[in-house]
Amino acid sequence: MSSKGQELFVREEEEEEDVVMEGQNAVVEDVDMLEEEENDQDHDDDDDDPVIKEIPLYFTGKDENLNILQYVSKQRLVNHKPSEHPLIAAARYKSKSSLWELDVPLDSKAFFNEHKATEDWNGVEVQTLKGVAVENIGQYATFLENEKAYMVPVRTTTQLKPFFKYIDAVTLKRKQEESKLNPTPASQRAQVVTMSVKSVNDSSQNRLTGSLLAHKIADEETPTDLNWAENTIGEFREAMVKESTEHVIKPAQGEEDYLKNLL
Amino acid sequence: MSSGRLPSLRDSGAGKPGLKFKPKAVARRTKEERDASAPKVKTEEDTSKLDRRRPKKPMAAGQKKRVPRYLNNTHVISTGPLAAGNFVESGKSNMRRGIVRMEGGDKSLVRKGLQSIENHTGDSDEEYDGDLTQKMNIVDEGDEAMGPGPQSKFNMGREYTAGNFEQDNSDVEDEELDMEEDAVQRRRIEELFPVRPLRIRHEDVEELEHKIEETLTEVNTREPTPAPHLIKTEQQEESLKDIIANKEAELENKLQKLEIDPDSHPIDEAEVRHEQAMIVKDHLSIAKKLSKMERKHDRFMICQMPYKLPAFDEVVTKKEAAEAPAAEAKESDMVVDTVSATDVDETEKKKSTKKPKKSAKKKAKDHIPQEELVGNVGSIRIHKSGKITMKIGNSIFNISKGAESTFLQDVIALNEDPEAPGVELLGRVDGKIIATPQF
Repeated sequence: MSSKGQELFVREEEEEEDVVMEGQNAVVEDVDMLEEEENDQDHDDDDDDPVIKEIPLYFTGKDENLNILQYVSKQRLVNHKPSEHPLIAAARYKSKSSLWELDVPLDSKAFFNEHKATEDWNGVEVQTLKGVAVENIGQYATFLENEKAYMVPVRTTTQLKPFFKYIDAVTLKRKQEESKLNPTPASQRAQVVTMSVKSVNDSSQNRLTGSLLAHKIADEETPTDLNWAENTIGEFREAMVKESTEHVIKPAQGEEDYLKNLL
Repeated sequence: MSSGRLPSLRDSGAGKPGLKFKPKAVARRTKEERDASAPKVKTEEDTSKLDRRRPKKPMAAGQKKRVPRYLNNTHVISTGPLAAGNFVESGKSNMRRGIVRMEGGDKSLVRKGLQSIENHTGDSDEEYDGDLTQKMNIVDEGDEAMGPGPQSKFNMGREYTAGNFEQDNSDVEDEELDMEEDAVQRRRIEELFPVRPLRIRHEDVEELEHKIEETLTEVNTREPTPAPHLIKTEQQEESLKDIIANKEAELENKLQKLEIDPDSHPIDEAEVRHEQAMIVKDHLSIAKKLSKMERKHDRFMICQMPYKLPAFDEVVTKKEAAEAPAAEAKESDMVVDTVSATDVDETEKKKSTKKPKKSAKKKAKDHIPQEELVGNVGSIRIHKSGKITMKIGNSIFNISKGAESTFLQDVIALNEDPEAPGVELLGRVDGKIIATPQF
């Protein structure tokens, strides 16, 4: 396996070994300096397994709001090829409850009963994918440009699942109609309403808590319609690369300090 | 006497020459009648062609003549890929005994999809010619699909056979989306029926048994083991002990190198080696993905970093940096120049930056907050052995491969600006790596 690995990566010459050793805590001023010091480090800890290739790593995009959408019902690979991206007809987002809603047009060409769709489900045309964005720390979306790796922090991850709005709508309508047409005996009967008055305090006002409250907030919030744009990756990459070159930073912690800080 | 004794014998003897049921004399049909039944004859010709094509299986033919009683006079007509199911139609008795028949037109989506699944490419050159034979091939898959038959057959067992099951990872993905209409339709079917059942082919099992037999050097006999063999095995045992001792020493060395937790109690060297091989494999696949990402612009790799990263300080202010990007833009050509330029400044910079560093040590707040970290933080390093590590600041991180997802993941940029709210689809997630600090 290792010989295979060599074949793969022996594109670049090995780094020169005549760089003067520097202490671990040496101050690094420049990008070039940084690389030099890395070489020293390599010799420090990996004498028998030298580094044959280095991909400089940049952090960038601190102001970007990157999110990951996971289409749980969509295959990543179909028959060993990347699957086609679903068409997105509309995208909505509720920022307060960080709720995503995407409309994907239904594929009416295969295994689709149009008659049934129009008759039973009010002519449903789109599948709604819905999911709540969950914040996460430490996730970075990495891309490569000109042999350099760029990492952009990812703010949230959203799992999108089909949400059968049209069924809910129809069942609700049906229920309402039924209750109108033949009122149940229960509703006709006189009902005894018992009322009790409790002392007014805060807890009685916040009747909804937890997930019910979250549902209520989400239902009441008006979604923002978002424009779905594609093929902007080129611009994005350019902007990210540019941003990363505007700052030069140097490590302020030694390895031990960092590990202590981490623990 | 003679007439009365054995009447049955005589009766049977008399019965022999005469037939109980005389066959009707079948009259030759008129030409009109024959013409009327012409279509039937035609299909039978077709199927006989088919028979010539594929090797006859006498067993199968014999079996198929019998149809279970409960299936008499039944016709299960179904469409869709599931129709290629259990019931197999015999070639000759097509019209009368057909149990399952593929309905649906020649341009059936299903067929196209199934074909491309089989061909593994999605853009097979083989056009569907509407021939009955191909239909039959699909129907007959239960019969002979296991063999390396013609391409047009839908082979249920082939996708995930015992042998190639491991290959089914993401690395295979490498083809461009082609947007021809045919291809689109095929892909749609592939998407609708993505799961192929796992089948263990009996050939595989036999092959395995065969291999095992081959590896057994001594044939089993009933005779007692000859004496000279015993001596040999003793010698071997001695050498085996040496070998084992050597290997244990090797293993310990390797374990130390690998820094494997001594509490993990590896069972044997094979397990450790396997583990090592898996790690190497992961690293190779990460490296492969990295090189692929260079080509494909809409691919992102998700990297899981520790919740705290090494601290960094800003060195150059934005005004100063305005000059730096210009130099860095031409970096590849100008490396030598910039290096020489920085060499000159080195001493000055050292002096100037040492001071803030000292103050930074005193006050941790001076460091750049992690979420605002921008700039070169280190590098991803590929070692000679294929191992991949990451260096951020002065700390080294081990890289390991994260679990692959089976579903599609997009990277999007959300713009919540109230004037022009929008989403930019940047690309899709392809793989995940995890960076853990090296202790």
